[in-house]
Amino acid sequence: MSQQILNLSLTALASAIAKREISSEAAVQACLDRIAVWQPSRNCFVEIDSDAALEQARACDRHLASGGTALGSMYGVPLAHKDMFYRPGVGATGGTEIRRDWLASTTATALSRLDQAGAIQVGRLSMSEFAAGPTGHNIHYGHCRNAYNRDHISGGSSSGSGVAVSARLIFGALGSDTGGSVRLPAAANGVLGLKPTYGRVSRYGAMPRSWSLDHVGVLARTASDCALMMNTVAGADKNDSTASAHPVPDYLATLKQSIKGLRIGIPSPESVGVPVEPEVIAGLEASLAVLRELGAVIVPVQLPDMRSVFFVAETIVKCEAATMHRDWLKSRPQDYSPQVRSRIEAGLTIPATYYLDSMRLRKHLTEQFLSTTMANIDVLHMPVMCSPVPSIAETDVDGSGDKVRALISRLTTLTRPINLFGLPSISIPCGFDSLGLPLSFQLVGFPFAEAKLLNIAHAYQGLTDFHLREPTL
Amino acid sequence: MNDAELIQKYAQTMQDFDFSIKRAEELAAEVKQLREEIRRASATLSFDDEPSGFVTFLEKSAQ
Repeated sequence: MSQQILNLSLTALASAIAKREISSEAAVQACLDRIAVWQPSRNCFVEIDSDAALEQARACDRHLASGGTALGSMYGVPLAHKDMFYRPGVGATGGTEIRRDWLASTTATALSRLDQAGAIQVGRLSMSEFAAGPTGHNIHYGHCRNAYNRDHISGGSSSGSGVAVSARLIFGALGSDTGGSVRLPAAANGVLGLKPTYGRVSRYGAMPRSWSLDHVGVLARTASDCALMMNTVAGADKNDSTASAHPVPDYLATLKQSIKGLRIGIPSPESVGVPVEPEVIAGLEASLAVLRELGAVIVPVQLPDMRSVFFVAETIVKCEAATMHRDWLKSRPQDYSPQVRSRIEAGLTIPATYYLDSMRLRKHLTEQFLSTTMANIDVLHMPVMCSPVPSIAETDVDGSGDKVRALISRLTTLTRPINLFGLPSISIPCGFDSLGLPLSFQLVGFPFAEAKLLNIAHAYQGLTDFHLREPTL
Repeated sequence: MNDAELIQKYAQTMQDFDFSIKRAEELAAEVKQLREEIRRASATLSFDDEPSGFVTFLEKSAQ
């Protein structure tokens, strides 16, 4: 029974709990049992809150047993989130030594909305230090390891979110994405990862990495699960002036629309600007074949100079991070890993005029991107990573600036520019490489086109079974 | 004063940070690259382009 529960999607479980076909306690206990088995080898949780989760689950079950109806769309469903979303009196380490014992005093808006929907948080998930690493390495809490092969990276910085969802330890998770931090761990672990439009989900109560480029996103196994989570967390927030008042559609309602005739752009290899390895290309081509079968029209497009866009984003991240970290860098430099410290320090020496020019360029570059690359298409299709999921050893660089920068550039060249544009993007699994590790592609849409991305993902998952594959211990 | 020495002096004077000359060399190279990229890209900006235009642009560009 336990395994049957864990194989359900988030939406199916929510429905089963609401109908009292499955108890919330059974669902939470199934997750806790599986976490106990997987955690020692994958290290995807920072903290597991078994007692509180079970207590909350029993309260849900009592309410339903007494004739009550489900108090929310995710009533009694176990989730867990990247350890950077605040809840009063509860830790949020941010993967850092500095905040190891720190307790939050506010509630993140995204958490608050999931609470209102009745979801249960069973724990806090591993992440890269200060959300500043694409691999899942963490010297303070131990590396988080790939769900499919523990010798390979989990991706980062929402490392535990990708691993825990993939390994069926939970049914969905929040992550954050400043340069690929939702899409990379989703891709590395074979689950869906949606980075919404900038401002679509409130950042209030989420540890900042870079105010201008941070996006709160969701990771789950199916498009309908992501849609349900987005229905819950998206929307304006009086606590976050950057949270958009743009109307929030019902993401579940449009999932099943036909994608026939939809125009999907694929960038010419030369415009990608970086070599894409053959196994990744094979996965991308296979995914395009499925999309064609669904009636989509594939259109060749040219990308702008992504390397240049990458540097504009880098300038913003470094300046904003240096501003928020300056005091700690000065007073507690030993509490940073050399890799993270080296990524931030340059921001201390970049003139403000260059930062502001980067911010001014943001609209300009996004406008250009939409009016050229995206001009005649509905969505853009491209790799998340240019290589198969690397091993932990291969990406274990020391703190020297050059090596760290080369690694970051290698892994985030095609994700970070999308954060600068603020556009929605979803990472979708499309196969496995010769080592059995997941391959994925990303779709990029127009502002606030999350529903379209989810619609395509849903159609794609209808013809493929990658999201049903289960990693083994 | 070369670029590394300049960065070292700047960090010390403006930010109260002491970097070794080796680290200052790395930072100088990194910042030089970012500076050159931003300067090149900024050639397309006009006097009236302002940072806050981005969010409004996103809202207007929704389809």
